[in-house]
Amino acid sequence: MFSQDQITRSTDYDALSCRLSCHLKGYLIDKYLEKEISGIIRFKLLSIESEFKRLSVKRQLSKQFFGLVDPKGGLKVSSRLPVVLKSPVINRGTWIRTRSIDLVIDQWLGENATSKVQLVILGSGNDTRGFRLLEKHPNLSLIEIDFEETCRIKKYSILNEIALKTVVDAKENQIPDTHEAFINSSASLSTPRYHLIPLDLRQLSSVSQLPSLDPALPTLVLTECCVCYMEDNESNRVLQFFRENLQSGVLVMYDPIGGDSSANYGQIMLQNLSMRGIQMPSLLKYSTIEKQHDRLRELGFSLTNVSDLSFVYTHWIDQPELVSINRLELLDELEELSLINKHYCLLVSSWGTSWRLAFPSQI
Amino acid sequence: MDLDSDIQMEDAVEQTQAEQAEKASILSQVPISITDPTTQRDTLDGWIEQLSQCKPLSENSVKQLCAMAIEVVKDEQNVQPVQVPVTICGDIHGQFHDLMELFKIGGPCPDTNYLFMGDYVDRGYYSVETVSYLVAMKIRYPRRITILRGNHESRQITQVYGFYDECFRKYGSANVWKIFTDLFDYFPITALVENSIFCLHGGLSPMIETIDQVRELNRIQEVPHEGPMCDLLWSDPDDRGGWGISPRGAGFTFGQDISEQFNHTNGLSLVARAHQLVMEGYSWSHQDLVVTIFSAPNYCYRCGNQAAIMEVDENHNRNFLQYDPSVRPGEPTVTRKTPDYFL
Repeated sequence: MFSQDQITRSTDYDALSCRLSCHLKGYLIDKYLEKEISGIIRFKLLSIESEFKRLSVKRQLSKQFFGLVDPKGGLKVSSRLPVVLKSPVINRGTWIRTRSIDLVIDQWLGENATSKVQLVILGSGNDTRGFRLLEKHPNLSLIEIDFEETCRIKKYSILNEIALKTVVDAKENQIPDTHEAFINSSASLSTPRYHLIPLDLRQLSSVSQLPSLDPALPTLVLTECCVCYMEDNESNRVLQFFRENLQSGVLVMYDPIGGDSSANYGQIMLQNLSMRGIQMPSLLKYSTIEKQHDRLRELGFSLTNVSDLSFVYTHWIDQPELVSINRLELLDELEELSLINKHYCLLVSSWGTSWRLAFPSQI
Repeated sequence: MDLDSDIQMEDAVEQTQAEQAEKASILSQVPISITDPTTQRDTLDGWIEQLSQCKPLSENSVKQLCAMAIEVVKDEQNVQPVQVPVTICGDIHGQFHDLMELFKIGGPCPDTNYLFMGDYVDRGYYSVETVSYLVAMKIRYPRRITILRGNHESRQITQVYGFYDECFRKYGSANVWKIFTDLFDYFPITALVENSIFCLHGGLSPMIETIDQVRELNRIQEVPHEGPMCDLLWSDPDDRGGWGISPRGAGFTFGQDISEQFNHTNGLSLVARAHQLVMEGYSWSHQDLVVTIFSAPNYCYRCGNQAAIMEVDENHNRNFLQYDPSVRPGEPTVTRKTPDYFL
């Protein structure tokens, strides 16, 4: 049987697979992604003891990554694209998710270009966003927090690839090559600019658990489809923790919302996700951007920007960019895209700083 | 072990589905003489019976089915005339069980006449069964059911949106996909109900002012990337007046002024079309000059929308029937892939 946490961790692979699809289709340019996924495949397989299970996971990974898994274990992208990537509606939604968060972070980093700043990514999984930011912004230090199992795989994926190792400036060279050595190795990685911290966020209660966090530095805390898997008292405690322990900061939160109770989108989403055992305990509680807004306000945040992703899609992206995105593939499912995007929200809040996001807010 | 929780068995189940169905069907052993009407009818009834249980036909049977279908639809017109009473339906998209629900709500064919406005395949999990069933019904009751071409009845789109993949999974090769997409070229592209309701999948085209201009098109080809035939299958009505660039990348958007002019020129009371997800299953636009009908409830098993069909009776009265997804007790959920979300 699988624990709820294992199931939650598996959603990281959905996100990766969506981003790979976007990358291969030209929506996003991510020079680290293929390298990262190659490493993930290798070390994911190394994390499994039973030969039989390893075969089954390899088959699933191959399916998740569009049949591009090399028999030897890495990711093999040939010039000929596989016939079936993610559907255009999923590509478009993944693109706007990634792009909109980039826009927020870029603006914040742009306005803090000369001072030291830190970015904290909660439930970062195997996302490569941080690597791209480290490369572009020399004053940035990055803290990524996720479950131990996830961090261990990410750590060695980084150490295994010179490009990744270079961008985080890691000096470690030891890479375990047996299952035993792998599971007994430390899952944390710390360099002068990059800190990968294995921690169950629900256990976070003291800044001493995050020694690399500097509470005095301007900080952006990103939670992207992370707190939605927690019970709401747990997720609220996590959000509040950063609000209370950082002198100044910006919270960026991307999460699904169940929608207006008169339609049953959220109900269906919960039913569908339950077929995989995935739970989103507060999807129907914080079901609208208004309810998410009130939730964060009650936690002491003052909101600068609260929008659903459909609003972001039509109001944040300039026309030439939309035109070039529209050219990438035919999208027959405009109404569906707008419906799905209406069920994801992007919230930006700041405290201890006068920083304000320059993009329009829906409420 | 994280990923095991998402073992999705549909491959294992579906790979043998067509094979099993073939074994189950004694009829597939019988050589078919298309020229003998009795044999043909019995064969079709057997296929329809098998398909109505959501069991795909064998590749060989699909080959025969589509050969027979070409004979039936190739002589239909670009603007196929249809008489009342008729029940007009929108997108189905491989949601086979919901199609069965549609026939329950609207009444069984051939007792009720049906006009389907395209998009039988892609997105849902049972495109093969859905399109096989509708094509078999078309051959069996050619004057009772009209099936138009949607923008998904095309080689290019089906490779992106699932039908190609499903054929490959269920038959182990792309042969069945090729056979069906070759057939799609022959489907009529529009229908005209009693010279009053113009029915088509998408919408109007700036290159088409009169219905006679549709009659002049050479439709027997892959859906082109642009031009009048493409527009008829891709365009959308819009709140903005005039013609607009479609954000879909094909076809146009057209305003109420365009609909007024077109309906007036051609003596029409209504343009009925499908193509767009509408949450109530149907939606009026352009002050009731255009209606959108969408017949796939809970589209993609994710959208939570109602579906609808439009009955037009002998006196041209219109009545909408709305319905929700069919309840499928006992259907093993393991055969269903979880729809994608951003996680």
